[in-house]
Amino acid sequence: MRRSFVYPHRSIRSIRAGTGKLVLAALTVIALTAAIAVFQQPLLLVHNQLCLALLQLSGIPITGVAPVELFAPFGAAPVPVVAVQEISNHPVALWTLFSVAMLVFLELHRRIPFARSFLVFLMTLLAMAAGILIFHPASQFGSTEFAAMWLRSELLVWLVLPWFSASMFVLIEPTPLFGVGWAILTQVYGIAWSAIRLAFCIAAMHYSGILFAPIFWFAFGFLADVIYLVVFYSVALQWAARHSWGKRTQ
Amino acid sequence: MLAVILIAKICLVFSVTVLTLYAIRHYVFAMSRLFLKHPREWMEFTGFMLPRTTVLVAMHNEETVAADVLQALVECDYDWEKLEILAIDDRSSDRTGAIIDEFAAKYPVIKAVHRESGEGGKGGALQFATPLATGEVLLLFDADYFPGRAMIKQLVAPFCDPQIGAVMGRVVPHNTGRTLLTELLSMERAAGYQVGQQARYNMGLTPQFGGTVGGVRATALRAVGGWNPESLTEDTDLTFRLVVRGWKVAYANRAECYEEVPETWEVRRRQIARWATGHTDCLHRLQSSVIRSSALSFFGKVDALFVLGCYLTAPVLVLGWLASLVLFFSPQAHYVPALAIALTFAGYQMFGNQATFYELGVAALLDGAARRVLLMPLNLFNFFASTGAICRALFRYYTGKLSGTGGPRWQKTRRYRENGNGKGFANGNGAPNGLYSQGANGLYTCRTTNV
Repeated sequence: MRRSFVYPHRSIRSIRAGTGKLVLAALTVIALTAAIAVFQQPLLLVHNQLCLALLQLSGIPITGVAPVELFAPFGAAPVPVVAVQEISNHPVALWTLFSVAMLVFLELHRRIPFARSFLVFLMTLLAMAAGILIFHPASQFGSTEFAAMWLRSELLVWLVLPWFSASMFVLIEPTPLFGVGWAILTQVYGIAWSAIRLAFCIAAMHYSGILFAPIFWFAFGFLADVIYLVVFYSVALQWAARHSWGKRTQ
Repeated sequence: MLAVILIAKICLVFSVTVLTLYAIRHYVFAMSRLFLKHPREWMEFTGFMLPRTTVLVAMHNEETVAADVLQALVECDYDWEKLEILAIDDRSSDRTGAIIDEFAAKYPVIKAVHRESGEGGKGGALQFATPLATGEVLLLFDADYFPGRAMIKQLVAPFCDPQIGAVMGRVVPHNTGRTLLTELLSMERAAGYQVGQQARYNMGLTPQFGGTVGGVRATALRAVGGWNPESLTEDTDLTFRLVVRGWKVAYANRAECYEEVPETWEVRRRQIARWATGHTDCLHRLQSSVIRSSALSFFGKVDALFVLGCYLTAPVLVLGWLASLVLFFSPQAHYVPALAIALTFAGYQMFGNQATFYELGVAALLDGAARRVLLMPLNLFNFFASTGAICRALFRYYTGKLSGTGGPRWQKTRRYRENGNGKGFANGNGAPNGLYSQGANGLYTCRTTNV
C-alpha cells in the first residue's frame, strides 16, 4: 500500500524540463554557435579594437597589428603587437621581479589561510617560469605568439559556452526566456572580458617579459573563464532557487 | 628535449582522459538528478514489521557531544522493546565513559560498552561491539550527529526489501554559517548526497554507505566478514564488500541527520587526507573483487571503480598541470589540440574532487539554498586546498607502502560544539536548542539548512 505523501520536506524532488524548454535550449545552442561562426571576423575585430584601445589608454607603445592564424575553419585574426622585454638578458630585473612577486605571494600565503594552496599553485607557476628563463631562455616568445594562443583558446571557450549556457541557464530557469537572456549576456561578457584580460597580460609582458606568462595563462586565462562562468551560473541559480522555492511554499 | 615533450604529451592526454571521464560522470549525475523521475521514498511504504534494531555509537574522547547524541537517540520514535543502543567508549581519556555510564543507568535501552585497548579507529570499535548487538539491523551514528525523531524508522524502512544490505541517510551540516569553509563544505555535502548519492541510487548504481546515519543488515555484515578495523574508511570498505557479494545499498535522502563539518582549513585538510588514504587503500584491496564480481553490472563496476579511485584525480590533475606547463613553453602548445586539452583542464579546476560545480548548483537548487549558492565561485579555494591535502596524503601513503614503514593511521576529526550535555533535548520534542524550529504542521526542521 502506498501513501500519497509522508510529510512535507524542504527539498524539491526534481525539475520539469518540458518539450518547450528543451527546444528553446537547443535553439539557444544553435543560434549562439551560429552567431560565433558567422560573425567571427567582426567579433575578432571588435575584440582587437577593445584590446588596442585599452593598451593605448594605459600608454603601452604599440608597434602594429599583425594577423595570426587561428584554426580551421576559422581564418586569421588581428592582434596587437607590443615589444616584450627579453627579461633573461636582464638578470637583475628578473631576480628583482621574481623575488618581489614571491615575497608578495608568501605574505598572502601567511595572511590568507584559505588561499594557501592556490597561492602555492601560483608560486609553482612563477618558479617554473623563472627556471625556464634561466636555463632555457630560447623558449621566450613575443606578444603575437601569446595573443595567438590566447585567441585560439578563447575562441574555443566562446564555442563551448552556448552548450554550458543551454543546460545550465535555459533548462533550470523557471522563466526560460530569462535563461536565454542570461546565456546571451554570458557570451557577450566572455568576449569583452577576454579582450580586457588580454590587454592586461600584454601590457604586463611589455614590462616583465614572460616571467608571469604562465600565471596569466593558467590563472587569468582559462581559470578566469571558468570563474566567470561559475559566477553567472551561481547568480542564475540563486534566482531559480528563490523562484522554485517560493512557488513550492505557496 | 623531444623526449620531455613526448612524455609531457602522454601525461597530459592521460590526465585529460581521466578527468574528462569524471567530469562527464558528474554531469550525467547532475542532469539525471535534476530532470529525471525520482523513485518513491521507502517511508511511503507501509505494512511491514519493524525489525529489532541496534544503534552503535562509537565514541573516542567525545565528552563535548556524547550526551547530545545519546539523548537524541532515546527520544527517537521507535519501540524500545525492539531497540538497543550500544554506546561504545573507545579508549577515551576524557569523561566520555562516565557520560555513557550515566545514560546507561538512566535509560535501560542504552548499554555501555567500554573498549580499553586494541588497535584501529572506528572500525576497531565497531568490530569490538558488534558481537554484543542483538538487532537484525545495525544502525550507526557518529558522536557529533543529531538524529531527528523519525530517523531510526526512516533508516530501517528500506530493510523491508531482503536484497538491501545497507542503507545510507543524508548528512546535513548544522554549523553551516560559522565560517566560509563551513558554507563551502555545506554545499559540497549537499551535492554529494542530494545529487551524487541520489543519482547513483536512481540509476541503479551503488550509493556509498557512509558509516554514519546509515545501517547494515546484521546477516549481511556477518556474511562479508564484519568490519575491517584496519581500514581508515571502514564504511567504503564495507559498501563494496557487500555489493560484490550481491547485496544492494539503498539511499534515503529524506533521512536527514545533522553533523559538524570542519570549521578550520587545517582540520579540513586532515579530514580529507584521511578519506583520501582510506579510499585509495580500499581501491587497492577491492579493485579485483569489484572487477570479478558477477553481482555488479558493467556500469556498476565502472562506477564502483570511479568511486574508489576518486581521490586519485588530485595527483592526476597535478601531473596534468605540470605536463601542460612544460608544453606551454614548447611549440606544441601552439596547436589546437593542446588548447582543447588545456580547456578541459581549466574546466576541471573548478569541478573539484568531491563535487563538480554544476553538482553544487543542482543541489542548491533542489534544496532551495538560494543565498549560499552565491559563494560557489569561492569553492576554488576549497578545491585547491583539497587537491594539495590529497596529494600530500597519497604521497605519504604510497611512500609508506613502498618502504613498508607504515600503513594508514587514524586521525580523529576535531569537534567544535560546546556544552553538549544533552539538556538541549530536555524540552521533550527531540530538538536541540536553537538547531531546529517547529513548523505550523508541528514538525521540526533544521533551520540552518534553509538559507
